[in-house]
Amino acid sequence: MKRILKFSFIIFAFSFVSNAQSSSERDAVEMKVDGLGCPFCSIGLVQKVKKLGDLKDIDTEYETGLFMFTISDKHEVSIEDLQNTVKKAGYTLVYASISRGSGEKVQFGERPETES
Amino acid sequence: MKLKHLTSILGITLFYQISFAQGPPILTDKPILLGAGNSTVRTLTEIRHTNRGRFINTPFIYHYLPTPNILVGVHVNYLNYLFEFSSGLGNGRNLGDISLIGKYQFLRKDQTGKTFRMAFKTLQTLPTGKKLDIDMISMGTYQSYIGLIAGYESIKFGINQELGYALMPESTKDEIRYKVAFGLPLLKPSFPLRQLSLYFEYQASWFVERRDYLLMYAQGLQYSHGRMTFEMAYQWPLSQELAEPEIRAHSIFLSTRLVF
Repeated sequence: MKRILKFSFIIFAFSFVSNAQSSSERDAVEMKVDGLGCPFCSIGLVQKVKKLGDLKDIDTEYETGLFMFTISDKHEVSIEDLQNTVKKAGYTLVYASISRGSGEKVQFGERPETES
Repeated sequence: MKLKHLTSILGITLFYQISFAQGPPILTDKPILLGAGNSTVRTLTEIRHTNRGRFINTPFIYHYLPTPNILVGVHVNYLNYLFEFSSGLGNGRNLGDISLIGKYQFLRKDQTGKTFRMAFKTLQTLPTGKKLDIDMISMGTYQSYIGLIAGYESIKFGINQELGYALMPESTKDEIRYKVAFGLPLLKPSFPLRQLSLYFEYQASWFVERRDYLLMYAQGLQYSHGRMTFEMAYQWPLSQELAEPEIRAHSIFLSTRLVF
């Protein structure tokens, strides 16, 4: 019985650690895209960005043009990928930043000042 | 005094309407394209009543964007017609005219939360339908259309317009066409997309050779949820000077579109 309990604890601890790792292994991406004048217009951009990989937490602020999402770091998304994606969607990329799960941060352009 | 008040109310209403316009109009074209590699499938069923009879057109519309500023597509009309007995044309159903569409967006000015775009549009219609003389559905003749589309969209202001010329060498129905659309979203902008909008659209046609004209107004309702959009509109003439059989009564439009 002790052995079963011990084994169960190890399995539980392992799954907890692996879950914690997977959640920290996502890159947070923030972009400022000019030209997003209406919610329907952003469908094309969302479709294009989704092709970058396994996206989650997608959000858009139409007033500021900010477009945010997280993506698994296994896709190794780069600033060039974001520039190409936004260009193909027919919009203008003004600013982009990628905060890696590892803590590294890469940035293109100046982050716009927002009220928030 | 009453006229002044009425004008003020109309002005405020119009300003309110155009101040919050967003999304694609139902009957007017737009210069804002949805990104390279994306496709749109749409049906735009029209139930048209004229002095000659009732016509139900159920088109299949497919648009594809090979690049961010070029759109190509095909419109396949399928017609169900019921002519008035006196015309002797009877009733039936058949394939209507097939049109090939091309759009080229040549101007794009983007700013935070707003954009102004212009595009050229061409529509080449093939005479696959019967010669039933039903405008834009089953003319049974070659037609060419070139137009210029301009659109400004922002969180606070939006308007789409189209001006073009339709050439029909085998007919006397050459036409200068102008369309303008305003929208009024009833819900706040949200992500994922969920929007209910009212549309106010005008269409003016001037038939150059016949010196006839037609001015129509359409009241539309549009619901967008994610990649799906459902639309309906009721269109009626505000003013018209047409040959007696062609006089329009009204049209009802029902539409579904999917972006993928």
